Amino acid sequence: MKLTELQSILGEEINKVRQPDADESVIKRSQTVALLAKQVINNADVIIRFDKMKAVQPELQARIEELI
Amino acid sequence: MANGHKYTEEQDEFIRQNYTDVSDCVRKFNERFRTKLSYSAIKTHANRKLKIVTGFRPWTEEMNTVIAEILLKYSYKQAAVIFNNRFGTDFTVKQIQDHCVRSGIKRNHAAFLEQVDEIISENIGKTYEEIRKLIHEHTGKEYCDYTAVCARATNLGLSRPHRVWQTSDKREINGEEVTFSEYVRFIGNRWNKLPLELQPLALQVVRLQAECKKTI
Repeated sequence: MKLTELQSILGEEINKVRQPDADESVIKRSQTVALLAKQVINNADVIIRFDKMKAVQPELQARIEELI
Repeated sequence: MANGHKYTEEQDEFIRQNYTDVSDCVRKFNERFRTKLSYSAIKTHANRKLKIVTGFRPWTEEMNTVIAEILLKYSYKQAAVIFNNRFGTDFTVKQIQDHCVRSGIKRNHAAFLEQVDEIISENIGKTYEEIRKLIHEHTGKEYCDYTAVCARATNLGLSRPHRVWQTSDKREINGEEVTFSEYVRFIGNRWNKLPLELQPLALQVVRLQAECKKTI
């Protein structure tokens, strides 16, 4: 999934929750989406940091890959 | 032998010609005339009888002025680096300190700190960040963050009135106004440390979480 797609999904979920007729199931679903999105963001953060570190300190690449 | 050494005209002339560095001159002298004169013997003879001194005077007036200016803003350690870079010299911090003491160049740091303390005392009602900026405006000294100001204020026995964040206060993340709940969630996840590209997405997540909480 691309981050732009995730952004669209989050936007839709926010709109759904804001509806006056949003029931418990809708909210639970949104909460789950939020939790998953958190995970996706944290993963993306790790990837971006890894790429940046590779560029700045190439000598660490092998060590980081070993850990992953 | 040194006490009884009679310097010849040739030896005096040799000293005159080579007295740029005392140690070097002593070494050359002893080699040339096969003597064992000491450092102090030749130095005393040169200074008292021949009335000459080495030309080794690396500190110029310009250098004194510059080091005095640098020391107004920086510590001796930082000043040594700046000074050496500027003049291409290799003075140690200790050498610079000693020279300044001998030459009467004062760092005047205490006076500077008094000025900083005065600014802190007068503006204690403001935030430490605001005080930090004021110090920079008035003295030119820029603390890298406000904790230094906080530490000085604490040492002075001053305590800034603690400001409690009200839920009605406006907060912004990346220029976008957010609610108290959204802000707390965002910071709580340490998402303020995320790469900027990911922050709008993270903001959407906290917005969704806040909406869910509101609805429940």
